[in-house]
Amino acid sequence: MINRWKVCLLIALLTLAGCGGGAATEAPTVVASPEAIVAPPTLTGPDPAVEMVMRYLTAKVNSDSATLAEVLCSEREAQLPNEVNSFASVQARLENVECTRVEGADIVACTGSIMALYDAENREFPLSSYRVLQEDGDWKWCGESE
Amino acid sequence: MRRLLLILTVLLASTIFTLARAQEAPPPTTATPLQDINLRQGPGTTYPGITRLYTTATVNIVERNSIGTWVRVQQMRPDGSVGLDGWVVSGYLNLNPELRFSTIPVSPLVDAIPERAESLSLRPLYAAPVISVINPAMRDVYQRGLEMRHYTHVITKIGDSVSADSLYLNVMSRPSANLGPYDYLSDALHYFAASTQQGSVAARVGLNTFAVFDPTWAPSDQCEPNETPLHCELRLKRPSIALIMFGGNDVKNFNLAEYEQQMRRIVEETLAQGVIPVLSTFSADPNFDTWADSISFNTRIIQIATDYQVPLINLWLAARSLPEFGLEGDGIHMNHWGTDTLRFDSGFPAFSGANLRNLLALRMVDEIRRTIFIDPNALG
Repeated sequence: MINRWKVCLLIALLTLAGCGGGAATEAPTVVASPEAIVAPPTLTGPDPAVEMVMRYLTAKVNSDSATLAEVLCSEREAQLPNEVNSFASVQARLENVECTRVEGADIVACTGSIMALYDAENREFPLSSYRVLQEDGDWKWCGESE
Repeated sequence: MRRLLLILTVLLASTIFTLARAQEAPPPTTATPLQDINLRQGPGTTYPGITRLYTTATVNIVERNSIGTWVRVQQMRPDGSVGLDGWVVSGYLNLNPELRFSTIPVSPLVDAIPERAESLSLRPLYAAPVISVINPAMRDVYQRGLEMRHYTHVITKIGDSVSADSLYLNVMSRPSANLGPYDYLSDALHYFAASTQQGSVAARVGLNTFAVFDPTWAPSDQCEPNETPLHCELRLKRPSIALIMFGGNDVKNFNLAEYEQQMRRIVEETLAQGVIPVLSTFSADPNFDTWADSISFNTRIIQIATDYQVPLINLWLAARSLPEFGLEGDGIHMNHWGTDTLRFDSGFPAFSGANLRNLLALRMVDEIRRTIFIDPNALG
């Protein structure tokens, strides 16, 4: 009788140990992609200059005159009609765009492209690095960086 | 003595045989229509029609317009007197391979009768010749170009997809280029052909009169940061002449004032760079909803060319005589059959829109070369 209780107790202990052990070994796989947590999301959120360049690019492919007028620096104001209308003859969209602030410089470097659809064919316009500057406290787009 | 007689007899027989053969072969000015065509009183669609000329007819070419796109033909009666006498589009004739337009007299008749236009608004478009007279003011531009170390023998193109197409201008450098009867243009072809091998960074699919000033449209591997496609192209090639045509895209997206402002900017910048800008009207189809605007835009192009005294190709007028006005089904791009869009030898259907446009471009640069360049053979 006592032996039967001992066997049952042993089985119960082993089962519990088995469950606990399983939980302990699975725990590291939950953080299997540490870079997703550790790396910042390419600074698009926190950096206002990067955010402004993203607004500029989005406005450009949408021929959004009001937004483009807001983000162009005073030096580039005369170019507003060209910026607004240059993609008017195609269906333009942004593709795989990522922008980051170049450390120690007023430059935002972008990868990805503007895709322009015309006559059922796509044409790619690779993005570049852009000069940014602050005017009256706001970040402005000021052309391609030299 | 007997041997001498024998030689003389053979020579005489040979001469008689050659003469007989020469009499049998029709002169190179003889032609037959490829299809039933309209015979008109002058070289253009506004001239009244006389009758239909059928494929069974044999005619003799006696005159041509300044280009060769229209020819005056005569059909002779059996008694040797002139029967039918009128003008037809030369592209609709089965031309003799030996025919050379350099031997055909040029008629003083103009390309159209504006008073006979279908509407009042079309009159300015019929009044502008297909190839404008070159204003002597272009000599100053040419001189400025020389001072800026531009190349006399280099031409380029500025425009949208209608111009970006390699079937336009680039075909001048291809071995298949064959002027056929347009032999009077062969010097110009040889002079400029090499410069047309490459495309233009300022002639791109989807480009419009605003985009040509947007550095985003300038390829970064050839152009400098913040450089516009227009400036980049003129810097890269350093041409003497730029053939400029916008309209197909712009007429759908912009109003007349915007279009005019941008076209004037393009002309001013090109002139400032020491390059002769050649403007061009664009062909249009009355069956499209852009027809009315295309009339306004084209009329304004003519006005701009007049204001700046720059050369003008009136493609709109020249294309009136072509099937579908030389346009593809989209009403924008020039139609073509095959890729030999600068081939005019006999038996080849020469008068697609693309062929016509290349011919007019060549005719215009030939005119500029002969009237403006100081010594076209010594320079470049």
